[in-house]
Amino acid sequence: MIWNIFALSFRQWINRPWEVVLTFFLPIVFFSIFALIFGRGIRSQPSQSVPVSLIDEVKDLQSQELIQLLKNDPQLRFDTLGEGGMSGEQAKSRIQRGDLTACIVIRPFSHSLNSDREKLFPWSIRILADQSDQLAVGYVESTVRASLTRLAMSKLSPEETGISSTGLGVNQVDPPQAAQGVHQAEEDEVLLAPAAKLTPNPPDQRMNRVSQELLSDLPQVENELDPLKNGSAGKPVVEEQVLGIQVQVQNVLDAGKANPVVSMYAAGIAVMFLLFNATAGSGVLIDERANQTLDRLLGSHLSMDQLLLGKWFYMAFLGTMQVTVMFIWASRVFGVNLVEHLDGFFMMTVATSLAASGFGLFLATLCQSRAQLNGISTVVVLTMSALGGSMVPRYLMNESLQHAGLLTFNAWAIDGYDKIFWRELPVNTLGPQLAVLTLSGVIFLSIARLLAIRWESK
Amino acid sequence: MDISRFSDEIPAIEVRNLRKRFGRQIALDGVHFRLQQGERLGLLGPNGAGKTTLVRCLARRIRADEGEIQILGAPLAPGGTLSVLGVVPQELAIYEDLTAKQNLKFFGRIHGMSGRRLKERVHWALDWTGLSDRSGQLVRYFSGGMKRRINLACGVMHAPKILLLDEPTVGVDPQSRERIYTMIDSLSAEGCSVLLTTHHMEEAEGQCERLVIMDRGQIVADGTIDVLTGQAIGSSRYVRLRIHVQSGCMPRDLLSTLERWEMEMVSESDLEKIATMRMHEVAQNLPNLLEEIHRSGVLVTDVEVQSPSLHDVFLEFTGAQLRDV
Repeated sequence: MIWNIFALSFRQWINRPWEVVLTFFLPIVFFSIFALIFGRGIRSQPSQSVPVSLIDEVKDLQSQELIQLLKNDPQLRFDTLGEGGMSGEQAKSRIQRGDLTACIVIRPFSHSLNSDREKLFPWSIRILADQSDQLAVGYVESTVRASLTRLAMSKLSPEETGISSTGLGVNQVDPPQAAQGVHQAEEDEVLLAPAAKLTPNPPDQRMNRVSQELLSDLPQVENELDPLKNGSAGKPVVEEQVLGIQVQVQNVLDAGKANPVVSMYAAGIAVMFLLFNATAGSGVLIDERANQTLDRLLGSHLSMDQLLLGKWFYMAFLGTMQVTVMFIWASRVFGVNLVEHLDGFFMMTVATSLAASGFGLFLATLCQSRAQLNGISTVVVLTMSALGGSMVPRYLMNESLQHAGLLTFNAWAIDGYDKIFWRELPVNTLGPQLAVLTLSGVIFLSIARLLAIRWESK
Repeated sequence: MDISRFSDEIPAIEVRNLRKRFGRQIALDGVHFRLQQGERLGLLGPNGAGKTTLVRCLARRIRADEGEIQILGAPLAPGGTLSVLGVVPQELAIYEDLTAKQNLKFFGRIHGMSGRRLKERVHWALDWTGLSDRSGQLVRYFSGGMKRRINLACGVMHAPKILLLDEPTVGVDPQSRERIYTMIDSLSAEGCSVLLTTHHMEEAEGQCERLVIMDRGQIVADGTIDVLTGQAIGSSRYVRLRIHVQSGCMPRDLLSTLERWEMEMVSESDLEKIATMRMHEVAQNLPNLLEEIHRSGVLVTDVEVQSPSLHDVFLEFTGAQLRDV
């Protein structure tokens, strides 16, 4: 009897070729996607040059030398506006808009100079940063630190630096090589935790040991800078010293937010569920066709246009309600600032829901049966969610995957929510996201309409 | 059955030379028929005969390649027949996650009804289906017969003048079937023309005034049951004799008599035989047959004379060959 049940189940499965294909195809597809993202896709350094700006409020010889060292780094793309005299507030504004990832500000001391070091380097450094791309900020910070080290080593004796040179041959180290060694170490070792993680790495172990000693007295910068680990709550400024030079990292977008990263993940999850719900909801159309309800509907005053539009609006409404409830929960429990961003939130949520609903109807009209819809929608939605940043932040992916992500609703929606909750930008900056999402919804609905012609009258 | 009352009126449905092809398969091959106003017409045919295609053409769900359909004298046009035509598909084309009342309201609304008129029709439909006391219950919890009644009611919410019914009683118990027949009767009494597609011969025979039999995309018979019986079988009747053979051995004379009368013999037991045949002029020929059998020394214990049923007529027109399509 047990064998009969086994054989029955197997024969049923074999008689559903679509399911047979999906049984083997789905795991391969998802394995490939995640292998791409986590295997080759995730980078330990920014995938493209980091847009930064410099404000030199000191303009002495040492600060100029530091700037020159920084500019030698090919991974940093310096914004020329800063050189024309951009203020800190302007820099913050540009960071908030996403034009810059960071701004390196060299600031004079406000107090009297005490030590020799302070007389030689009478300034401190503040990095105004957008921590939403933690890899990029970490890279900027480590580059500043490495450049400071090189500058200090070229100006101070080993005794003044306080670093034992025994057996290390510090004085023999060529500064550019040293900086390169630091970066190489970071590239090889840093994953997700960008800042200050410098570990020994051949071929330049000596320089790395120097770096370790230089940074051994630093606070637990890594954890404090990593909002994935602690949510960044209440830590807008992290301070440290490199050879006595004060370096501050100020998270421009973090100030006053309870837990801004939560909003990013709320957006990612919301879009994924919108897509799942839209495809499931659209499946009703296939059921209606199968049980001849569609015939009855179209035999009335109802047209296919009205039917699809009605379902589109309904699913968009339901999706909006669903996401709203989720964000209300997020605001109550996780402190997402929903109340102050209601306008942008509703615009983005309605546009995303319309897009997801249009896409769901497109899939439903494309498929012949519920089983086919379930299979295809699972593949497509999970793929879109993986590529679009619902599962893994897109800035962690390599450049090609980041570009591929722009083909998904998820990426555009998450970018929009990011503007609202993370960057706190006004709603008029949501134009591209709203346009892409709404237009996508309309285009997919139009394709669904064309596909549904075959159901109207043969 | 008097169908002369229909002859002078504009037909509810008139189909002329309707043709439809799906790829290489011919679904309709020059179909002609009429449904008179107030008439109940049964549409019969084996599977794949073209009945569903014909009904879908009438319901504007399929566009015919050739031919003409007129509804109440007007050519079938997009949107032109919505208020006069009601369609009740074989499948339960209702929403099981709505209550009976919600289903009726929805289908009323999509037929353009609202306000007081809608309320009245919902009330009428619940009463008509005998489901007033279950109006607030989800249809998913209804029995098969109750679902069928709601399915039927949703198709007539807008009080159509013509109703296309596709297997309205499939899968329901005799009590529910009788209720559905009563419901159809009341529609007919109000002047609604009904085209009933069915495989249920008893249903067609009992519920329809006239029958149209389709086969291979064509109308092969059209008329009342008497006319069709006359065409297919004429005046012959089925005769069935039960013969008791005392010795268990068939007398030679009996065998030659049965052979001459072209009777088929079936053994029920060694002593009991059943002989059947189709006999013309029963009143004249049956006594002669019985006399001959008596002379052969066996006893006829039972004689049964059957009028041909619609089942026989149907098989006569369409053949007994399976129509697996």
